[in-house]
Amino acid sequence: MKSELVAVVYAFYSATIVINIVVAAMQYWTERGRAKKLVMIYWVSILMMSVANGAFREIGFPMALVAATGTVISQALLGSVLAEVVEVPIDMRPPLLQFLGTVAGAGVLARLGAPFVIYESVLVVGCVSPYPYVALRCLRSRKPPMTTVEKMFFGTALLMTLHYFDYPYFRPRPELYLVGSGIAFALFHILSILMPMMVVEHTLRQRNAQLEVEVQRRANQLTSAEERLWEAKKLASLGRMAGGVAHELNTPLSIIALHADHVRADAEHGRLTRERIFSHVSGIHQVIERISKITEVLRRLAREGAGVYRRIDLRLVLDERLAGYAAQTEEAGIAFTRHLETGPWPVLGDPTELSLLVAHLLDNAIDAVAHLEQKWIRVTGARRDAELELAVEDSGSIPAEVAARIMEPFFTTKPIGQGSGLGLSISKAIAESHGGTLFLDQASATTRLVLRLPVAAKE
Amino acid sequence: MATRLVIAEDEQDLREMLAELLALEGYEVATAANGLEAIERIAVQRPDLVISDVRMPVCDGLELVRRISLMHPPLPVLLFSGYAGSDALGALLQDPGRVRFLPKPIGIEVLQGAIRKFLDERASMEPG
Repeated sequence: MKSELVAVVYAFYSATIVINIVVAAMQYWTERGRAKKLVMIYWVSILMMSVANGAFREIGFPMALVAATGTVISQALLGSVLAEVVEVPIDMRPPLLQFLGTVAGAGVLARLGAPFVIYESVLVVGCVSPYPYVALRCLRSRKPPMTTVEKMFFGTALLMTLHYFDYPYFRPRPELYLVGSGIAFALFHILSILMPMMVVEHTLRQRNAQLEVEVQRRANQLTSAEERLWEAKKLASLGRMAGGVAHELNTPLSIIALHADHVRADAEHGRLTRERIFSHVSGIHQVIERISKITEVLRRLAREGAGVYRRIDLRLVLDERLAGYAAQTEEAGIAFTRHLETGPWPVLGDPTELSLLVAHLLDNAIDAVAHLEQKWIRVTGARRDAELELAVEDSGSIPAEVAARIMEPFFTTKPIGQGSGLGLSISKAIAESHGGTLFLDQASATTRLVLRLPVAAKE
Repeated sequence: MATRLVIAEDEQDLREMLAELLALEGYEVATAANGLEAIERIAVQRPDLVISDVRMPVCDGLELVRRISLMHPPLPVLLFSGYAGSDALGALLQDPGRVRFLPKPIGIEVLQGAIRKFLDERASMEPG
């Protein structure tokens, strides 16, 4: 009765194992993944154990050897999969050599007539060793913590390994063997599910890491492209500026050249008097003074941003600066009006720079209206929530094509002696370094330049 | 008969010295402080050549060339500037028989050489 039950259960196990192999093979056939292949090999190794237990009539060394071979393959497989996902390089030769040693030892014991439980125990130690060998090494390497699936696999495979040790005692006793092989059967199934899960998880993790590297690389590329663009813009602006400097310097240089030509022409025509020499020399000196003014402004541009900012009252800076213009505008016949909201106007900034900015705006306005019939300049200032707005408006107007370029360094419509063209671009740079803006109010019919600065936070 | 020139230059010192030196060399010279004034002088003087700065207030050298090509098509223009190279300028210089460019700084010898060369080459180009 008992042996019949064993035969039926054995047949059921074997059929299930074969079905598992077929299913794994089909899956591997349709999708040639590494995980599928491992599962298939795993089930084949289990089939070896099953065949050994069923096909051999007698419990003896030949059966034990075939079963041990299937076991060592399946244990080595579990070990190598664990080593792979935990990313610890492990040499599998020592446990396999040890297995061969135990096979020899068990063979000799069997020959000498030792009981099954003795030589089989020796054989079990040899054939299960590959997995604990790897597991110990993985634990010792202290790589990043295992995932849940990896922990489950680790524990189940360890349980499986321990379970093999009851085999020498269970195998000759049919009732115990049924229970033992049932437990093994369940563990095989759990491992055959966990193994591909773990491999796929590991592959995904690797791909994620690759993607991250790729994303980082792209991000770096983008950053460097932006940097190059910014550099190009800077160079373009530098180029425009260099062109402006060339223009500014070449005109006075032409004048110096012509003074020299004049001296020579005068000498050739015999009219090089003391007065004419002095006149040319002073002409040349005037030009040199103009050139040095340009270089002074350039120096100031180069220093831009070096100011030390502190909390100041812009209203006081304005009052001080505007006071100087009352007399000047009156003398020039310009109607100068001021509408400034009462202070304080707290701003974080450099009073010298801001005062220079206001002076630039007013100087520009005075020059612009100098030749107009209607001459007026109006300065208005108001504090709005978090911003201060100061507007300098004059009776002049700016053509559209000029308006677009008015903030460029060296752009000027003035005759050369009167302005270097750096005023507005410097003013803009000062406004921006204070976190503000300076712009031409395009909506206004007359020229209206607006300065906006952020109000300093309360201390 | 002396060669007649109109010089357009916003810088007064430069304009006056150029005029004086070119007059000494035997040219008949009229001056203008910008492109608009130059157009007026051209109408009165009927010059053989216009010499003009590129950057000037009110009406710059490029605008002056455009107006001359509308009002006085055959009149040649010699532009000079310290600010070399712009697309608009490049487009105007396509016809070397009509518009040429001289970079600043300019000395009188270079300018005179350029005037003579320009007018000689034009004379040889025109039939008759």
